[in-house]
Amino acid sequence: MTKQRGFTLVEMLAVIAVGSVLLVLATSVVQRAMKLNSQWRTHADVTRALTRLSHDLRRDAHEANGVTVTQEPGEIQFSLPDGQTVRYTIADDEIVRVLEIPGQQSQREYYKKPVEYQATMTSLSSPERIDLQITRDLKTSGVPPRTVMHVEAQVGRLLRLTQTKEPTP
Amino acid sequence: MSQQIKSLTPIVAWAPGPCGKEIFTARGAMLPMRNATRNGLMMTELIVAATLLMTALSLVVTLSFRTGKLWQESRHYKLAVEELTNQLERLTILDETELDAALGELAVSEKMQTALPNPRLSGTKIVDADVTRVMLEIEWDRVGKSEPLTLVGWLAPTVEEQP
Repeated sequence: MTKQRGFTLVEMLAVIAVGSVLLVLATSVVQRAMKLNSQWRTHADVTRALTRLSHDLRRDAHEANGVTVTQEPGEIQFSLPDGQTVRYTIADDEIVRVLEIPGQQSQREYYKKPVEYQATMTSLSSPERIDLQITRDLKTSGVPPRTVMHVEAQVGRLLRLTQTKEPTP
Repeated sequence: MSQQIKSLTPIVAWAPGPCGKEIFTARGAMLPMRNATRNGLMMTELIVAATLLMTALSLVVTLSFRTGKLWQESRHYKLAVEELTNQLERLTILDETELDAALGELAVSEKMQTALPNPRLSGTKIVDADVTRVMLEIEWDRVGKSEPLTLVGWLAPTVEEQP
């Protein structure tokens, strides 16, 4: 029986091969975890922005006394009391809300959204409503875009409620 | 006869002892084999390793599916709340006569029919002593037994109801 000193080439090759496989697996797991973390953060950011957008759009629609919808580019303009206007414009990666108050600087607010999220605004009648739908294109053939948000806000709702509260002459 | 006895006592294994001395025995596996070289793995070790691997894999796969399902459920819940809000906004501006007709024709919007799995919408008018409320309930296919999502809205008071 002779004592073995060191490793043979075959053993070294086997160890290197197993080590490489483990390294590749570990790297891919770490990469996947980092990607998931990034996706989760984006998802949380988008959810927050869309919740804010939904709230602001409803409030503006309720307070408005008139609305104009332009399809190209996607734009909604609400006329508010006291000559104020609010305009929502859809861009590729954001939706912008611009509040214009006569004699003052306009106020801007941005709602960030990923490029793969599509926003469409339409006007509905009886009663007059604004429909904002945000869908996400999954980029998979045969799978329709997934609805992420759907808001139908009634235009001039607060105005109508205020009118009913006014005493009849 | 002696030949026969020899063949019945086989030498199963040998191993070098602690000081390098060779030990011959008929029960080789029971010997302390500190300096022995091992070629290959035992079947038990392989089975244990495979079991551990399979358990870890099944846990990871189950967790992945469960996480995806949770994401989907939270998205469905948000959409269902939006649907109820949209419907209530339309209904609460009507007067009581129009409300009865509207509740009779109540249906999930076209967009939500595709976004939620098998959605069912129902509405009830509740007349209290002084106010009228609309209670809307929406249900959709979910994992496990879940209560329907309910939202209540009050009708806008008419001019006659104003103090």
